[in-house]
Amino acid sequence: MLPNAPQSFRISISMACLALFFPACQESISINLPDEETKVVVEGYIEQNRPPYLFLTQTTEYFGPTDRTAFEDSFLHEATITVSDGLQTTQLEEYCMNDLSSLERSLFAQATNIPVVELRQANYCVYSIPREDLLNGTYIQGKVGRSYTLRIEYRDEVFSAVTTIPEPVPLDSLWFEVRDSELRDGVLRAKIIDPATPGNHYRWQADVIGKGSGFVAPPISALSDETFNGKAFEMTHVHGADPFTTQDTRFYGSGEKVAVKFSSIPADVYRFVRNFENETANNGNPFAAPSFPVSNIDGEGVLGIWAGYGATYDTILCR
Amino acid sequence: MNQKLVLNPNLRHLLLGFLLLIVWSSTAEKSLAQRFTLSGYVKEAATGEVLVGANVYVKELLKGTTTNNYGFYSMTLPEGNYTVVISYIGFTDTSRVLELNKDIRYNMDLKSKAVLTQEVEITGERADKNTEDAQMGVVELEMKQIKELPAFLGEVDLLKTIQLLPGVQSAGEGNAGFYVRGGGPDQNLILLDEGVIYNASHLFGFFSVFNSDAVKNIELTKGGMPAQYGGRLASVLDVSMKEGNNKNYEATGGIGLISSRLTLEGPIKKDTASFMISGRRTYIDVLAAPFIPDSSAFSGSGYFFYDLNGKANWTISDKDRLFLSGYLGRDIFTFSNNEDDFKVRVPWGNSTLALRWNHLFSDKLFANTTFIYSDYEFAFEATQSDFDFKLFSGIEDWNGKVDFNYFPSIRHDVKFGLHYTFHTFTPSSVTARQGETTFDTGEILKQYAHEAALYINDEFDLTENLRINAGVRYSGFRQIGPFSRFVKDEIGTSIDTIDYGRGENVATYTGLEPRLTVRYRLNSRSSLKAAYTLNYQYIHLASLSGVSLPTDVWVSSSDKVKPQRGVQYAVGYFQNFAENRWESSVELYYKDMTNLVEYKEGSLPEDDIADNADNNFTFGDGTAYGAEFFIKKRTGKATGWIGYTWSKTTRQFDDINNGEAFPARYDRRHDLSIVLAYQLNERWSFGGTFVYGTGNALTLPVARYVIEGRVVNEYTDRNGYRMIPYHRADIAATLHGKKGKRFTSDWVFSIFNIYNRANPYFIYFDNTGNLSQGTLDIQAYQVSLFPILPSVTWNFHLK
Repeated sequence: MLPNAPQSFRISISMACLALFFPACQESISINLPDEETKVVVEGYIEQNRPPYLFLTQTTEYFGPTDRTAFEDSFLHEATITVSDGLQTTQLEEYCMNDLSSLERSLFAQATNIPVVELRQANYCVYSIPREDLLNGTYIQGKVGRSYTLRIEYRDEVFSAVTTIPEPVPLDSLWFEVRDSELRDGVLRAKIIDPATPGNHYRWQADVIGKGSGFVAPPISALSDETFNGKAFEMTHVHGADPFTTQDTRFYGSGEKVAVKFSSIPADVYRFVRNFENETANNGNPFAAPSFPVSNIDGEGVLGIWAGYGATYDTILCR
Repeated sequence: MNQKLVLNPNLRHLLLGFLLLIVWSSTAEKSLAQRFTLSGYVKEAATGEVLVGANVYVKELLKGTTTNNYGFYSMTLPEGNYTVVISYIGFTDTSRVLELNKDIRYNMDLKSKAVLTQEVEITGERADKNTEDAQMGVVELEMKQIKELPAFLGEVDLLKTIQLLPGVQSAGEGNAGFYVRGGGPDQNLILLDEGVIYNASHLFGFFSVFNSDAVKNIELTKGGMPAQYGGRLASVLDVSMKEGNNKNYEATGGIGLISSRLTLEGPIKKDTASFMISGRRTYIDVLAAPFIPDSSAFSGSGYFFYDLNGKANWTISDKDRLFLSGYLGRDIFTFSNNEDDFKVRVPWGNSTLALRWNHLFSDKLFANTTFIYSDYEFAFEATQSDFDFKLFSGIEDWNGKVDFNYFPSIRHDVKFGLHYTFHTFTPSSVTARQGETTFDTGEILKQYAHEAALYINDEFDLTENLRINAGVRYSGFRQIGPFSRFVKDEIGTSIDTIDYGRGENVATYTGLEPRLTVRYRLNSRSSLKAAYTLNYQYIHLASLSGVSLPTDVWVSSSDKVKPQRGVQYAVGYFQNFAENRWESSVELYYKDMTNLVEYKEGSLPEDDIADNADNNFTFGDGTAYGAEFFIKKRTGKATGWIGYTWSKTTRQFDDINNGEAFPARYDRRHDLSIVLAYQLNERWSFGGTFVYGTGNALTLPVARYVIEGRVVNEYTDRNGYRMIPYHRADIAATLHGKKGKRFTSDWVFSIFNIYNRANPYFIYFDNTGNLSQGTLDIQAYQVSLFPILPSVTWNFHLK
């Protein structure tokens, strides 16, 4: 999203300046960081027509082990989690991917939109609607305009959060623009007509069909209508680096079929996402202050987000 | 401090008492014999430049005064015959017996000391200034001295030199600004010929905007700020440009590794009017250009900066003198990535223009009237395909002031005056266009404000040993419309807009700022001093970044932002040795600051766009205290100083760091500087510096977590981690060419970071690999900028 570009420009300028003119040297160092108490991390979603699901993990020591076991150990088990829309309260069930049959796993993938390839990768543990409901297809689903209250009891702590599924705003048009005819790649561009009410926030995610990476966000995926309220707005997106395959697929290849998920998100989710994106993009940049993805979860020692998505989906063949 | 003018009763008494004291002590001598005034200007004989701070001493009375910033002095004495001695370090003392039976105007031209006996001097002040002056925390530096010291890449830099003084810190190379006694970089008032310089750095602080060839005098006040200065909490750096030789034409210049300089000066009309014009430009871009082929994706990228200083003065009569001086400096960075069709141009810089009129109303009353325009701007222009983006931020001032210097008797030096500034702030103005769509980014977010102050200050001897420098400044600030205040809900969505019409009052603040410094002389070589100062600061610099950048924005006090308030207490012991050849001091200070400004946690760079910048601010307090030790050898073949500071400075903001106090970015427990200069003979002189400082405070991640498969850092307490200590030694040798009749030149060889210390510029963390596959790799890296760097500069002087 280009209107958000100044910060990244500024950073690249500062870095380029230094790189161009000064013989900087870099060395790997070891740092003794103080021990911090671990915190609980919530990553929960509810989208219209889909069931709620949530990852409950904990922070790990910065230089702690990075193997797969360590990753799988970061999942927190045996929490009591409920989601309520004010009329009905559902208790979520915890299950880990290794315990699921492949049918259950693909049903879960379908229901949540997490790529099944990824779910096979490691033993993800997730809290979502009970397994029987998943098989029956009779689970609670998000509804546009409704608020959802999340309550988590873990050990002696109670965390809670509320999110809303905002009215989706569909893309007015979506097209592929060739960047380099020799390399046969390009960017996706889209136009939206922003509703007259201020305070709309959006998020763009896209999935190159067949790559199995699921919906991936580009480096700057969230935008606010603050600068274009009530107007038509055109955006340009590259394909983000896929965190699961670590391939840096910046541009879309000609001939690729891309599914685009364009969602309306609440303001607090927007701020969380932008800070999260800033933080991952900065990654130690000295010119940027640390970003703090401000959590919307209430409670002591908790991080993360409970996010409502009012999503719309489109598909485009890049050519 | 209040929206309305409410004088604290204590302050009212203080003000009244102070005025009575001036009246009493200036009338106390009236009963003596008839009195006459001796006054005049002290100038350098060869060039006609006035000498600031020259000592004018009456032998018979064991009393004296010093010349003011315009080289003027005035003493009112009983009728009699007096031997008047005028001295200034580096110049031959001149004395003359005068019969004072009427008011006498006595202008004096001082001659430079003969070359052979010339020694390297640390400062141009008088010998016992350290122990005699009531002021404390004031340092004057002489350009000649600064030029002998090692300079980074040969670029003589007075900001780097003042950072070698106790109580003044740098944040390491690559950080703009300097930090005085726990104050932020925005709390320094930087004046170039009385024009405010809002960003004194080029290239992120690697170089300062002061071209050494154009500068005549530097005075830094870090504590006990007298009442003629205000508007900042921490310090005043007062830099005066050369006036220009009014007798002969001269050219001075230098060719260095990264830049060249040229200064021309001379008479417009001999002994009456002169000019000085000076320019400097870096040429890294020019040198690098041949190495970037046109076919390169980055061809068209580059960086340079330039400075232009100009000054003219005209002595209209014995009573009137006019000065016109200006400065223009720009940094220009261009970046282009032809592959992505992406182009960026980033110019930023200061400009000032000052017109000053010195007028003598009488031999006792000197007045200086000044009109100043000053401006700092930063722009960022980017284009990519059909997308255009322009960001502009800046501050523009129209400033008028009248300053009087009144010398009722030899015991008094009274200053009073009136200052007025009209500010226009542009915290952030953005225009963006994509194809046919122009984005509404709120061009109307400028802030307009009046700032004014009235002051009176007197330095006087209450008794033989007790000298007082007391003053009071009454300042006020009003933000006026047009202005639009966006009212936001708690998650930042606009819910309302309050519009103010042209000239309408948005917010008004006033404050009374008492200043007091007391010197008690213990004996001829030592004294005790104490100071109390209260300052208000009505303009604020907000930085979203971990370091100071030209992108930092200046904002006005407003309905949301209250003025910063700072109170400083200082005490000191001052001792000179060996007939004032050595001086030393110990100063302790404590500072309390309120209404400091920071961005809220979780603020985003784009938050300033289409919003009032101050909607993203949070406010808090600061405390700083420390001890400064200083010993200096002033004269002789070897000169230099050692300064050591122990200090602590913290900040407390309710909305930052969970409300707990945290170390300021530039909190530095230990700070040591050693400066040496040695004049071996007529041809060779040497300089060396060593600095040691506690590592910078920074915020580091202590834990990580995963969101959407990406690693997110969880940080320690704000500024809870320290980098390793910073230390470095530099040396320089100057080979002075044979003194020709008209042409002289010298070579300056210097080595920066002689033992190749890898000082951390920043620390960053990198993670690569895939977490769920167990291939994640996390590393910490330290980046250091400058290894050992030799440089050579050739300087010349033609007359």
